[in-house]
Amino acid sequence: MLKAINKGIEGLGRWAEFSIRVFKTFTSKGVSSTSLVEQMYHVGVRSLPITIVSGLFVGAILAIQINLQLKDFGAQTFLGGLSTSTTLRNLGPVLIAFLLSGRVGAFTSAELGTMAITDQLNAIRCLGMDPVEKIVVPRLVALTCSSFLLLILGLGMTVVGGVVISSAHLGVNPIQFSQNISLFVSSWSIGIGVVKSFLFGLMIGTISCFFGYHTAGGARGVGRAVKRTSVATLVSIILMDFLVSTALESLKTFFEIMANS
Amino acid sequence: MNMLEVKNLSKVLGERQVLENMSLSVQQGEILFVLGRSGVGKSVLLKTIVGLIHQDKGEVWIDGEKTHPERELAMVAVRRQCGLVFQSPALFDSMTVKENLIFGDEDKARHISATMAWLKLPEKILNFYPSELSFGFQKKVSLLRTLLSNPKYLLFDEPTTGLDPVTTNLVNDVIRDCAKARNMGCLVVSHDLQSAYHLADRIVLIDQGKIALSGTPSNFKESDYPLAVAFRKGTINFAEGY
Repeated sequence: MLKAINKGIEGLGRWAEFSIRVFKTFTSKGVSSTSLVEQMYHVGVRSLPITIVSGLFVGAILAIQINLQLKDFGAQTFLGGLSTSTTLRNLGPVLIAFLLSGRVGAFTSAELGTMAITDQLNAIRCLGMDPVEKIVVPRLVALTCSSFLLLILGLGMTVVGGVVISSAHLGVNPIQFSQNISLFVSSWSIGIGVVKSFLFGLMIGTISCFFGYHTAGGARGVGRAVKRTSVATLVSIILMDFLVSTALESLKTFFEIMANS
Repeated sequence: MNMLEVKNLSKVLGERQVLENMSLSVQQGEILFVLGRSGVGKSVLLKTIVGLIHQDKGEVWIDGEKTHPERELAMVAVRRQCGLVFQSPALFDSMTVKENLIFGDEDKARHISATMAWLKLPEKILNFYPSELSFGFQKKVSLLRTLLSNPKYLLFDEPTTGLDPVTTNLVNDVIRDCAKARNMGCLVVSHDLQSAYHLADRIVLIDQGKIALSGTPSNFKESDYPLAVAFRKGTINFAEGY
């Protein structure tokens, strides 16, 4: 048990060290625009369909679930506000980040892992270059930016999904749906969604690049790296969601107290 | 004198002593073959020289200067002087052959045609992806990529393994040209004895992490060291472990 905890802490330290190294390389040497555009196309553009579809369904599912509770109290007029608030602040970013961690996180980890075990990363070193600068930084920046933009798009789609299912199936038309949104959704709620989306994108990017870059041990090693990426991103997204929610709510309370005093 | 020197190099991987007090040197214009059975640590030796693996003990000197593998930035210059041709082609599979060749330095494009002609590679493959090439072509492109960096020393990891006899002869000719016409120092690790007889100025035989034999190809042919005999006969005496 103690050994596992030690190993976990050691892994966390190595991940932090790697992330700092990548960040330093990015700030000192920048990123090649050609590589960035190419990576954003691979990671971002190709993930658009799955993000749109999943966003629509996440919004629809939440609307149905919340409607089930509200119907008992005859409070369906609040459906739009409650479902939009829930999806924007919490469930939307988390569920779409889960999906992206499988779609782009696992892909990046497998790609870098294969490069590591076939000596492609070593070949870059032998050509007198730094694989972190040439390979990792463009992928990490592209992954973080793409994940962030995809999450924002996904959040938008969850609202659309909620509107569509409410008018088509739950008897709440788009005007009724949108009437109470402003009661529940403030700019703060949208801000929380945006901050979480950025942090989730950053987590998916750093974790998948870390495990992919340090892959060893042939095809089995690549499998292990992808598995570790999946587990670590899912756990870290949940932890990050909890920490950010708690921190931002405390911050909001602090601002409210300051404003009232 | 300009030379690549390895002094008392030792490396333990896991629980196995892969290299033990290994010392050898290659001068510019010389071809040194390091022979040994599979898994004996030949690739580890090359990767240690260029700092991809850090030694536990010992030193690597290039042209009278000690290398510092712990300093990644300092190793960049070392790796530019010592080109390593990997056993696997190690080409970037998401890039075309041309993108592989000019990776990191587009000025290399000026020398591609001449070097491709030297390696008898058709220029039409420049727009191919590595996966569209045969293994032999991939190995030649890998060699070409290293040659374009114009190193002083070339380290070859099993350069002829998996190649047909025609390509093997071509690669051997290129190694000889690199050393004799271009004055590069060539360190070749291999278990291809015929290539060693054909090319080597000196042969070093590694056995259980140590240098068991060092000398000219003639010395190797005459040696009665059991592993040298096993290499010549192509058979193993299991009772002796060779």
